Amino acid sequence: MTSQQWLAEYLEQGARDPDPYAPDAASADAARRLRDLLADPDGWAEPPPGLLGQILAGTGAGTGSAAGRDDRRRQTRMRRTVRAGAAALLAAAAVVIGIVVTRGPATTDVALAGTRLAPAASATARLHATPSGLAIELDVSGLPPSPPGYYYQAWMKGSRGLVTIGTFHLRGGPGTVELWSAVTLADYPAITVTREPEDGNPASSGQVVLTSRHP
Amino acid sequence: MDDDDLADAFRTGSAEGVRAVYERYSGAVFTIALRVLGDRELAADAVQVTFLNAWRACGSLEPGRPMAPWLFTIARRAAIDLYRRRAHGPEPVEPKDDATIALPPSMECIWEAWQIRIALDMLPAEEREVVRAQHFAGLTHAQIAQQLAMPIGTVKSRSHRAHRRLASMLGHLAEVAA
Repeated sequence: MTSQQWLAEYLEQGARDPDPYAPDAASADAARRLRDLLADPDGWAEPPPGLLGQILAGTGAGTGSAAGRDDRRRQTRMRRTVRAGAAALLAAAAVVIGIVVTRGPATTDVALAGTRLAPAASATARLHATPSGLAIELDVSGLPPSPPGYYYQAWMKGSRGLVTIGTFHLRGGPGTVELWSAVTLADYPAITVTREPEDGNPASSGQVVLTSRHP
Repeated sequence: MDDDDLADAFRTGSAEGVRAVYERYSGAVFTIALRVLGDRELAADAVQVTFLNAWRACGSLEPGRPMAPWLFTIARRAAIDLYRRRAHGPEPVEPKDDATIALPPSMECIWEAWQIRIALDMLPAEEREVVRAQHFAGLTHAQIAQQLAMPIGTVKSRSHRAHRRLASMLGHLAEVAA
């Protein structure tokens, strides 16, 4: 078996333990990483429809002359200035709306789907703003109890980073888990649950079992 | 259309050229923007900025130079710029803690994600569908056969062919000699 045949088989079927055909430890690690990336939702996500039209409008594409392109660049700059002003207004409106939503009595439901690590799992997170923070009821089904030495950890994720919102194990059976968050869904729009080893390391293991992010 | 033809079409600034490059690379640009930004709307903004910046800079794409690494550089820069702009916004409610706040992924991670997405997009559609069901949805061959209403033998042969293609395109990432 050549190294490339081994990689094809590994990507398709996963590891055998021990694997007599693995070229070396570094290649085996890299192959495992590639297989994890093939399961990553980001790797399958498609840009929103209509984006190409906006880009074509931004380029003014259609004619190829240099003079035409200079005109288009001037138009693009003008459009960008107008859009920047509009974006600032929209951002201000979004802040106001965000405050209203955060302070209002509304409850928001977020659906979570199981990943390759837990394909049968699903959950609904019910978020309710309180004066102390965001109260979250996570109704979980299909997720097995965490094995000894492991636990589950819930996170909220946004462009500012990752904030943990609690840990649980489900060893009493499936049900509702109560979580709390001091950050808002507007700033941290993705909710995930990871499987964590009890190794004293507070960073995320990256082993996502439930996620609210869709491709 | 190969990469050289694509680059030539893009250099003309025509709608066809922009559309062809977008169809080939928008998935990969969106993937790495999502990895950096973790937010679909911001990632869509990064895709738009990337293609507009690339269109403005298409004169710097020298004939014969591969398009993918050139576009990757522009896309990564656009995503990181948006990330930094967001990072300079209001302070989060919780104090920042290096243990719980994720940093943007490394250059190597982004490059791997880029190459994997391009390899997936180069698979024939029927093979890509099987690979997606297998890895992203976590289905077995039997489950895929049931979902796609096709014989299990067809699923297995498509899966086999697809993974051989992927190994051929991605072998260098696993330090595997061809």
